[in-house]
Amino acid sequence: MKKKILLPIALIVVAVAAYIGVRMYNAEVPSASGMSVDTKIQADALFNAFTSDEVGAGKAYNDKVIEVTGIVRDITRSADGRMSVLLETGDPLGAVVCEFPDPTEDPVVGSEVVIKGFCAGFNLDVLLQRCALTGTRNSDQP
Amino acid sequence: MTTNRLMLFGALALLPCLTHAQDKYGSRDGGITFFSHAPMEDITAVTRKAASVLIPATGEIQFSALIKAFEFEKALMQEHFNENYMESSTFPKAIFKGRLVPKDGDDLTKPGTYDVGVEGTITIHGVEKPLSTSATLVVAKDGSITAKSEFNVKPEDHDIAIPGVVRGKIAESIKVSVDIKYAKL
Repeated sequence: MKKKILLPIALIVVAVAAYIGVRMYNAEVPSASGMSVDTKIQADALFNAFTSDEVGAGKAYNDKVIEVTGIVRDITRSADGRMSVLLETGDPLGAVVCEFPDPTEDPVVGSEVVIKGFCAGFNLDVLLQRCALTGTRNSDQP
Repeated sequence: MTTNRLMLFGALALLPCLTHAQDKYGSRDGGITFFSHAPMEDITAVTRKAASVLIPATGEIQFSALIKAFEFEKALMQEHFNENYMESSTFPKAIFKGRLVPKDGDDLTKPGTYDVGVEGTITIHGVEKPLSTSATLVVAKDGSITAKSEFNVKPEDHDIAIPGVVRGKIAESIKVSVDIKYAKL
């Protein structure tokens, strides 16, 4: 009698474990949309943190979900349509670059935006990936 | 006209050529893809944010890419790539420094399509190795330059340990493709 009960339970446990394992294995890389924010910071402060101490800033910000506020300097699109929003940093040679995975409404150049994304580090620019736009204010708005 | 004035005139006449010779081209949106073909699985990762500088007159070329900027299809692959193999928190960038070697008579400052050699060193996982490959360079009339290249990298050459249990999922030699469009700086 015990065997008759234990066998189906064991099969169910194995099936559930296999299902969870396959789900975990095939899980896609998440977007920052819907993720909780680890740090809120201004774009120029984030950039200055990396230019003054790249290693220290990397430890503080890399892999974290960063919510950055800044003025849009430029918007570019890659060959596969991915949008990158470049935020002002006060340094003409560097920006905070926010890469969006899916086509989205373009913010206006010169407007203030709030963007969250995963920090990937510093390579001339600070790079945030898999970003989501969380707020915008045009320059002509109060 | 004195000799000094002749020399000055000659120098001024040559200035545009010298300036042209020093032209630098750059990109912050370079594409680098790597592809691993193994019996159990194919793995592709891509970054579109490699930074690169090219001086066509001398052939000098450098590029660097953030390891954490490589994106995978699956989250678990990306996590293992960064934490277990590339140790990207310790070795955050891959860097190439080298030189394009054009064929005799080819002038990379002029519009055209050129097959060139590439010689230099590549640093991955903190380990520097010589790299010799080929590339195709397209110098457009609008002033832009596109460079494409493919080469192979062996993880073991860069002290990247692949555990035996996943050996069937990761190729012994990884194909790297580079596609960078440069604008004049």
